[in-house]
Amino acid sequence: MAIFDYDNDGWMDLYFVNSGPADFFQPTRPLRNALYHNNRDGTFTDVTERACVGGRDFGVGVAAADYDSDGWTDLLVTTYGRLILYHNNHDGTFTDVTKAAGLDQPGLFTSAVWFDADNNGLLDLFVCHFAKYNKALERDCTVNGVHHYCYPKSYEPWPSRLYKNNGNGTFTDISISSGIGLHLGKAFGVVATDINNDGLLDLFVANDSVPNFLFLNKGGGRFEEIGFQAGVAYSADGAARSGMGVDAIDFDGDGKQDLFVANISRERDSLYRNAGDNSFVDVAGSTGIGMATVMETGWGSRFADFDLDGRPDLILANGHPDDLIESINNSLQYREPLLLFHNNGRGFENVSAAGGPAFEESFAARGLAVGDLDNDGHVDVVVGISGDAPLILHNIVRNTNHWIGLNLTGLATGSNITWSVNGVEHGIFKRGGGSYLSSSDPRDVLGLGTAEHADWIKVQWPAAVGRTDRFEHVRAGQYYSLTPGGDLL
Amino acid sequence: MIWLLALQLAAGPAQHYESARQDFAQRRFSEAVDQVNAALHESPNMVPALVLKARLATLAHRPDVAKSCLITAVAANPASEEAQFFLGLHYYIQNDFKLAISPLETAETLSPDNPLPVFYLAMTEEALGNESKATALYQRAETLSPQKSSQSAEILVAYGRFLLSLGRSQDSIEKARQALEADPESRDAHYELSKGLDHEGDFKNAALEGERALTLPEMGTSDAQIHFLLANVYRQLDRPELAKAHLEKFLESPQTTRR
Repeated sequence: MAIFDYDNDGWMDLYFVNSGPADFFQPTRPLRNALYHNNRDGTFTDVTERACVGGRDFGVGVAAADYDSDGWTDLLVTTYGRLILYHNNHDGTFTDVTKAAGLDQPGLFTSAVWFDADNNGLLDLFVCHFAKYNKALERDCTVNGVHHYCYPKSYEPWPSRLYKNNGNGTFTDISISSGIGLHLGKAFGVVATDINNDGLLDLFVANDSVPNFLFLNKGGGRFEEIGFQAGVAYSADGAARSGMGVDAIDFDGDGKQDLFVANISRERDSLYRNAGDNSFVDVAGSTGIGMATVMETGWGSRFADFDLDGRPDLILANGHPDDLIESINNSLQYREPLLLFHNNGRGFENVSAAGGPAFEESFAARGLAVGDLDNDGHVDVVVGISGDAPLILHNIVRNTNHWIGLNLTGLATGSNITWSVNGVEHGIFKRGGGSYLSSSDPRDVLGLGTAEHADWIKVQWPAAVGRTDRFEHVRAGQYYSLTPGGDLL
Repeated sequence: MIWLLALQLAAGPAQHYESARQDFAQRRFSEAVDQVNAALHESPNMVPALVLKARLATLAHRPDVAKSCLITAVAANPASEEAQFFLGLHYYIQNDFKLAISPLETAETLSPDNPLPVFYLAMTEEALGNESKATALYQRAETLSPQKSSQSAEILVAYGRFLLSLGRSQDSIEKARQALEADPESRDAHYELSKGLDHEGDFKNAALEGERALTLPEMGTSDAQIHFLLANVYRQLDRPELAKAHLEKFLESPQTTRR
């Protein structure tokens, strides 16, 4: 799902992708995607039909961004079969411009990310492609006479795609020339971040049952796959894991972006601490993430500072992929609990038990996005549930901590936001994408702890913008908009 | 055929079971199956024979038969430590961890000085993500295991692997070294020691231990795992030719996943 502001009213709206009819699937009742307008009172109104974003394909994921820099957020929907690019018409409606944009290509697409691959100031598009699949290739995965979900090992890997934004509403497929298309995977999740602080956005891609990819941006629209050398491709014992959702954050405040992957049950999730020199160490065990996730299958994954202490916490959406798993294993469940981890500065503490009633239940959770739905400075969570209604988790963490919201307008992905509170420096690198099939609130909430103002805030814009803005003594408790070189408004 | 049946009947179930046990020990599995079936034909609830049949079924990749035998054995004699242990082991091997706990705990109660039920309980709790329980159980299994035996080495290796998974590489190294004192030819122990040393940044000794592991018979740790480790270690040591060679061997091996 996507949390984004389609009508520029300053309130986050919601878009949900549904699995409509396909050649291998006929839903028992009509299914379409859904856009909900935020009514600013804790309720939402379904505006799908008016907005013309129903889709009616076998939808999979969504990535929201203003790809044509007109100030309005557009939608890229991934499906089994094709991509759909919805251009925002600025009047509450969208137009399907997929064909005109040159994105009308077949495939089984999952997550996607908008990011500036070549630092020319335009948002390019990376789309994860899962295995080579169509109905004719479907396998019979029967266990004890019962037709089960097929493990991905049954299907051949396939390359993901990179599309260059031509700046005129069209895109050019540069998968091969960029190096991305040379690597066969079963891609589920992607996050764009800068692992070596060179000003170029790299891509971390989670693959299911084959090694993960880390595409190092070499500049000029070219990428080198360094997953093995970087230590993020395999488990410590050389086994390819089943990666689903991903995220990237500097969780330990050392100025380097770390990586996270949610894996299937018994594989533990991975938290890769950036060791510098383009290499990573899996610290899931020592940080408390490993044992807490060993029985869960993770999908949606997002770091966010839920308690506004200045450190990124972590929330995970879980659920086993096989809806019949309980018939063949007594220790695993199809529905699994959400997990919430608090970053205490030394590691991650599993605080799910204190997370509220939603954390006491189990779900077939998949997509997950975070965002401030009521503009109170507390980051809320939306979780997509397979075959059921979504969850909207209202953040009611109540402490004396304060916050500042930042809405960076224009080309913002790749910005480095730093701020100081009582002389202590914090930072957020504005990554692109992340989680699983989902798109989060583009705004950033800076946690100040108990301070009522930030000593200063510095925004280092992406290389294509090429400037840094700094503001002194910024008061807490509100959202500020910022354009490069502008004032906090 | 009739005379053979008559001979078997004459031998009695205990004798058939004893023959089966000896055949099993000498890895004559086909003969062992015949003998254990003969024993159970005469005495369907003979617990040792049921357990032995379950072990043979496990080797023959028939977990359904193994499970059935063990459940029958436990029903026939709930006080059989052997039946309880192997039922717990069966569930553990089948990744049915929650079901493994009860029979393993019963086996532990019935035979409190036996390290094996405690050891498998430790691994079960580890698989379930119960860190504190697993830690305590591994510690107890280590205490119970006989000094300097292959069994104690196996327990120490698993304990060390668990500690490394928690990021406790120094403790893991200590367990691997203890395992090697108990069994210097343990490939698993050399491999785990190499991993711990790699974590600690002692790449030179990690390479030595990894290379040593490669020379030992492949039982648990695969060649592919060691090549993967050595490819990383030699890259750290700035030995690109060795890193490349091990990486190529790793990539040539069948790729493993847990699924």
